[in-house]
Amino acid sequence: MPRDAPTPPPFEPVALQRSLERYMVWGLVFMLALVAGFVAYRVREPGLRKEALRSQTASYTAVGRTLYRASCAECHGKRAEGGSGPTLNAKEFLKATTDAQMQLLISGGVSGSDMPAWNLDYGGTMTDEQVRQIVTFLRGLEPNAPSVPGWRKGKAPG
Amino acid sequence: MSDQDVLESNEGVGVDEPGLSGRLHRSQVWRSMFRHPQQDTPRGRALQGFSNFFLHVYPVKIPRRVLRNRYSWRLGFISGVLFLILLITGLYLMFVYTPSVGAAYGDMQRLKTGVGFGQLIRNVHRWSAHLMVLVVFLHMVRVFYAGAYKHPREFNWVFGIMLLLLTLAFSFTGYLLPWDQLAYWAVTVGTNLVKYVPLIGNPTQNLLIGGDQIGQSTLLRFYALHVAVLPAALVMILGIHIWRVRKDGFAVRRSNVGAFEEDAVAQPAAAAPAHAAPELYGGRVRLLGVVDRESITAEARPVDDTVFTWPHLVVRHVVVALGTAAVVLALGVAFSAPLRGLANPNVTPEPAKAPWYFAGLQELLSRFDPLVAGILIPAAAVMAFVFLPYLDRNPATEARNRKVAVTLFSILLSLAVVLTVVGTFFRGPGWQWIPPWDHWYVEL
Ligand code: HEC
Ligand code: HEM
Repeated sequence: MPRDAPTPPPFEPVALQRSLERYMVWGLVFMLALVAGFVAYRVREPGLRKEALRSQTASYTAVGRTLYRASCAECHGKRAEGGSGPTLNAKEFLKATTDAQMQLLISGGVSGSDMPAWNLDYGGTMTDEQVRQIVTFLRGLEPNAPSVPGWRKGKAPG
Repeated sequence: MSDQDVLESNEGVGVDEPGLSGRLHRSQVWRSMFRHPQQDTPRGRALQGFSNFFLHVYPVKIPRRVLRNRYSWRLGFISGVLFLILLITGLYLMFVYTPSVGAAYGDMQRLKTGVGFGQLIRNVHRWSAHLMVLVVFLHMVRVFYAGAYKHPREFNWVFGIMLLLLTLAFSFTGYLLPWDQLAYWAVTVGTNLVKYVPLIGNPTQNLLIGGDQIGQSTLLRFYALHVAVLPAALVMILGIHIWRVRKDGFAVRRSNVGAFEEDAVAQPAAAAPAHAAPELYGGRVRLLGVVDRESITAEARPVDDTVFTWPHLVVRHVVVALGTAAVVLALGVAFSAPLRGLANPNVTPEPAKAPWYFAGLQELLSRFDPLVAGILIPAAAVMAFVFLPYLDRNPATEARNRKVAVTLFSILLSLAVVLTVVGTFFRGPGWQWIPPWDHWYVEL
């Protein structure tokens, strides 16, 4: 209503109008609280995420190590130093392979070789998440991985 | 002039309103959306109510007592708001979540580590769900104490019970979806209750979880129930529930004696007919040919104590909705939804507890024969609630004129509360008595 328009005659008790206005003030307070809530979360989010990622990496590495020992060590060696299969604890391999590539290799296996497919989707025994845990474990080796130029050949037994 | 003429003409559509707001109100786009006059007069408000979809969900006028918080505590409305919040946050989560045992848990972690606002939305979804169970229950309790289930609202009470059961089913199916230890074991304990039904118990449980152990098939069917079947069912029944509330005239009218005595004295003075839209009742504006005046104002009453729904009730509802949203958002910012380790059928956590709203049942089970505690008592309780309005034929709504019903209900209510509190807070490994101040085993 513009200021100079004729005010319509009041047809409701003043008290009703006043309690309505009190409600509107509360409405404003709640709206501000909603905005503040989202801002507060946004400010905290990067820290929360870093923390979550750290603890996720720690737990995935631990589970991944167990899975690796149980399923992969016989061919790739206890410390991933290689065996009948390639050396996975090698700077050359880890540098050249992204997480996504590793995920795919382990999930689908290498056809025409002894490397089986591990993901349930391809007839294996592991879920996406378990493969991801192994990838996290292998990735954790990268900082201390030795250089093994002949990593593809693995290590002949004996 | 008929209503249609008023809506089609330019009368009152801000013709003499100067400035930007006038131009906005006269523009075709605005008028295509809001076809009513802008005038703040009784007729203007009545037409606003009738020609605007959102306002048409409400009646044009309501008895003034509906504005009082003290009557309903707005608990039914808050339940509805929580449901709406759950729909919106749930939709967001659907885009991140895969209902498979291999992916679900990782998706929960991704919400934490890589999805914008992901963890916040999950927190809000979870706290709203817990709160909804609580608020729907409290809504039922207040409907009981207000005597609002009595004629003509008997069947709406039955719809209410259905809504309560659907709310529990929602919460329970959602509980499994994170696929962590908490989810897996709470649902294991919960679905094991079904086994105690004689003869059909085992097959029913197998049907429910899709096999004899909780696994991929359970997760998939719980997901389908949670995101498709239950929302459709709840929306339909809720529509009928709210429509009936409107048709039955919102709040129960008290007799002139009893708990709301002061209303009888205060209201006629506050609502003299002069305040009450003379044009409307003078017959100049017939609101809808087919709607008799009785159902516009919903109920016969000696004095007109009605007020316009817009803005009085609508503004209150919007503010209550904003307040509810602010509370669950604050909870979501302050507390993270739990995520334990990946579900593992071979590692039973101690204690393995059902979700808190079934903790009372679990407590009963630890004391009585499973058939009695797990099946007969809950079934009898649900049946008693369904038939309550037909068994209790006393028309009085004041507590002092219905002592038997109020006493019985209060005893049952206290029992349920005590059992739930004991089961939730005072039980530890092996269902031993361990007070919460010694060790806190509560998980939400
Ligand atoms: C039966 C022996 C065997 C087992 C068990 C096995 N692998 Fe392999 N893996 C191989 C062989 C052989 C290759 C080499 C395939 C080729 O390229 O010809 C290979 C290749 C790979 C490669 C690809 C290296 C590259 O870039 O060429 C990765 C990664 C790998 N394995 C990871 C795993 C993981 C993780 C596991 C355990 C879940 C595992 N493997 C279990 C035999 C095995
Ligand atoms: C999903 C859960 C539910 C929702 C969203 C809901 C919503 C509502 C709403 C919005 C009202 C209007 C009055 C108010 O705000 O209190 C109402 C009234 C009512 N509800 Fe519910 N309700 C739910 C569950 C229940 C349950 C569990 C019961 C009881 C068993 C119940 C019984 C009633 C009755 C009898 C009324 C009419 C009360 C009156 O007119 O005073 N409802 N409900």
